[in-house]
Amino acid sequence: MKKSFFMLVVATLILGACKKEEEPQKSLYLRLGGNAAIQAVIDQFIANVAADARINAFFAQAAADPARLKKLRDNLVNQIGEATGGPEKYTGLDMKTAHKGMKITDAHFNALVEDLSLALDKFSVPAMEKTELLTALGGMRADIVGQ
Amino acid sequence: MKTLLIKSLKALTLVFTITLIVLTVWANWESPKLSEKLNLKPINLVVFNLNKSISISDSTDITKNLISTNGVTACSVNPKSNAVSVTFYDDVITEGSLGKVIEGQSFKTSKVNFATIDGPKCPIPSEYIDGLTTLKRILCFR
Repeated sequence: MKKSFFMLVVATLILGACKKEEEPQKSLYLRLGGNAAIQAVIDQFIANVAADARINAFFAQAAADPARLKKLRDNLVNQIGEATGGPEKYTGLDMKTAHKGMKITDAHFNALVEDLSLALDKFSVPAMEKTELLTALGGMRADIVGQ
Repeated sequence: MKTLLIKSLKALTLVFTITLIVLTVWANWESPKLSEKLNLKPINLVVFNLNKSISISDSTDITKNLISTNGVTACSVNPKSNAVSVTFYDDVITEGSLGKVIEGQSFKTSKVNFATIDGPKCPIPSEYIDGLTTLKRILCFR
């Protein structure tokens, strides 16, 4: 009887000491809402940039040509999808090559980030996901600014 | 002479075959972009300049009216530049109709012609990129 009781106590202690396996955190891609959500954010971002006199001249070619606009939109969706852990693959030009000679400044880049931030706010993206996304994309600053 | 011609033809055929194989491997190295598989419906973009300042209530009303219009995927009202931009499906709604939605708020609109804006351009010609993309699409069997 004593032995059984003792074994029961030991078993309880062992089971209690076992850490419950934590569920792996969903990727940022899934937390944002996947491809459909990213598309909606990108459409809003494109609208914000097109109305922003500080930087819309950089996108004049895309804005004037529906075929180029489609490529830009697809590239942006793929880029954000890939950066957030989604199945998309960005296959456009690397950022340095794509922006070479454009003389983009920190002010231009900040304006772009602001427009993206407004697009994320429009869809009530939570602060944590928003910060994660902007941080992931902020790493591109060095390849875009000052080229 | 005849032998030289045959040798040249053989060499050209070999070069052509190797080039085709290399291009096919390149085109099939990665699976097509998800956006190509999904075949995202293209959007159009139009930006209107307005004839007067936009107040906060004007901005709210214009946004509300545009977003509730069938065919509009996104809109942005920028009071600093007195501009309204709209992304839309042109098989559902036209630029003219969108302009009328905005003019319903007692504004006059003038469309921004981006083709005349000489902004900074991508250094790689688009024809080069388009050519590579088309070639890849043709040779991709995935």
